[in-house]
Amino acid sequence: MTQAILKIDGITRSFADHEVLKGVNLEVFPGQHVGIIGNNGQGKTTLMKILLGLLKPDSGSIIIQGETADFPRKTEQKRIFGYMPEAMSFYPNLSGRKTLQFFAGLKSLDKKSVDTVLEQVELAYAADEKVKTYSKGMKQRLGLAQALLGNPKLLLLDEPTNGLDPNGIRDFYFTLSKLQQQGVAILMASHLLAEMEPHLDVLAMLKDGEFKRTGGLQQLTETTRLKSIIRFTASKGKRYEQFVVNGEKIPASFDEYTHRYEILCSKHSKKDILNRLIEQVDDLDSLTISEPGLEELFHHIHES
Amino acid sequence: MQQYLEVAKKEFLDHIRNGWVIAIAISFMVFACIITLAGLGFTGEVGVGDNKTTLMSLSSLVFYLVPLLGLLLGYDSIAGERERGTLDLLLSYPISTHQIIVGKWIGLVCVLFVTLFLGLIVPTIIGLSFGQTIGQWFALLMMSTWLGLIFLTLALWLSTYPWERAKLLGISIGLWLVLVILFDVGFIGLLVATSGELSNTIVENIFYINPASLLRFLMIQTMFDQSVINELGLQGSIPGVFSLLIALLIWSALPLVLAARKMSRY
Repeated sequence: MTQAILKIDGITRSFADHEVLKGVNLEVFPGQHVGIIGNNGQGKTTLMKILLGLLKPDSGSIIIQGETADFPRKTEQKRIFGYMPEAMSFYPNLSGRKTLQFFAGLKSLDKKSVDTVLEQVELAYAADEKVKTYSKGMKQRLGLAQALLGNPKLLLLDEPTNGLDPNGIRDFYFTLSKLQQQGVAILMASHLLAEMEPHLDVLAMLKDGEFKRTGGLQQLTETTRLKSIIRFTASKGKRYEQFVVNGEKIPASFDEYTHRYEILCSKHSKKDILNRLIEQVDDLDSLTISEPGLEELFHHIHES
Repeated sequence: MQQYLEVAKKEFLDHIRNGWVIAIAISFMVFACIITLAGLGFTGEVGVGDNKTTLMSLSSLVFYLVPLLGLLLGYDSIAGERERGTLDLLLSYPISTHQIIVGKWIGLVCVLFVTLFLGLIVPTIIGLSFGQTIGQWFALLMMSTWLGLIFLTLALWLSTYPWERAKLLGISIGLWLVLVILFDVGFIGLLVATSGELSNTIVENIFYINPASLLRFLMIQTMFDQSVINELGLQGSIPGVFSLLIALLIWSALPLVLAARKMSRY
């Protein structure tokens, strides 16, 4: 079996009387894209700092490639990580290239590695301009570029797509997917659920200092029994209040503003409800089915 | 060693490129040129005075401005990294906290040296062309750099505390006011209040708490002859050169050690 590149084993951490992390466990394997999601104040930043070796946990351990990580972190263990912090502004008077040369120097890398990452994030065209002239999106790219220096085996990304335009977001995830194919593991914290949903292999939902749920999106939506939503409109203005399926009354809610009906249904009853709906609604105009996604799962877990 | 140099290089480039250093150097140069060229103004004529007059006037400029320059260079060195979000990023790299501190210190001392060198180069050339000797000008440059270095190191240490930059700037300016402006006034007040009854030992010990005074005495003792000390009425009450050197070395190194210790607990 493949060895986990990172194993978080029972990490706890308190500040004064407040227990921020209460026994966090997670494994990240090569090529895996793991998303940490949670509201503000749930312990994401504390966990990131512990992973980077900037904070010492009260108990538990971080295991990097099978070896327990020391505090402070050994140089070899630091080289495995590439870290991109949230909303950073770098050194305003240095150019993008000089900034990357500085970080490359800290990892004892040559100048070629700087050109490579500049190409990877498509920032080569502005490499010699001062960072203070960069847009927010360009700074985010620069942040990703420095995280990619030295070919890290694990990328820790904190809100990495903040400030990127739609093309930038698409290119960003494209770059990540290429890295995944090369075996790079990605651990990413983000609030932008819809945007990250198609790219994640594993979700880890952080709430009250614990991972409340960990697993693939499909697996989690099934175990939490989230319902699909069937939406339809009828053209002749007839009103439908419910549909009887296998002796069970399934209500249909009508939105006066959009003139659209909504039916909540479980995975097993979905087919029967659809059949009944097509039979009964002779003025059916439009029909869509929304499967439960990351956003629904997130709200479900945080409200439960 | 590479880590120290990488940080020092980055720090140096970042400051040199922001234009602030050049502006300070030019202002300093203008002041220094005016002092050099108008050194004899108080005698009723304009011209370059003798070595002693010019260098005494310039050293006054140095003692007011250079500590402030040192403090302004150092106060946001760590706080700035923290506020920009680059400190955590730096620490995620294969670099230790003391490499960051010492690397920054080296880079900032180089910035300070370049600023003072540029500020003093033109007045030096003017002074030399009027027959003055280079030795004392070089000594002035080195003493100025040492003075700035001490205040820069103090500010670097303050910068390791988790305070906002605005607060650190306020503390730095306060430190300058107390040690550079108010200290002498307070000292004179003390002498007057005690009707000059203070023993030489107490007077000497009071000077040890202020690195600016210590460096001024070192400059007087090494760059000028005994007549200047006599003219200032300081004979017998200022520390000897060896004691001054030891005290100034402690003032230069201790804040750096404290800064490295504070950062290691980050």
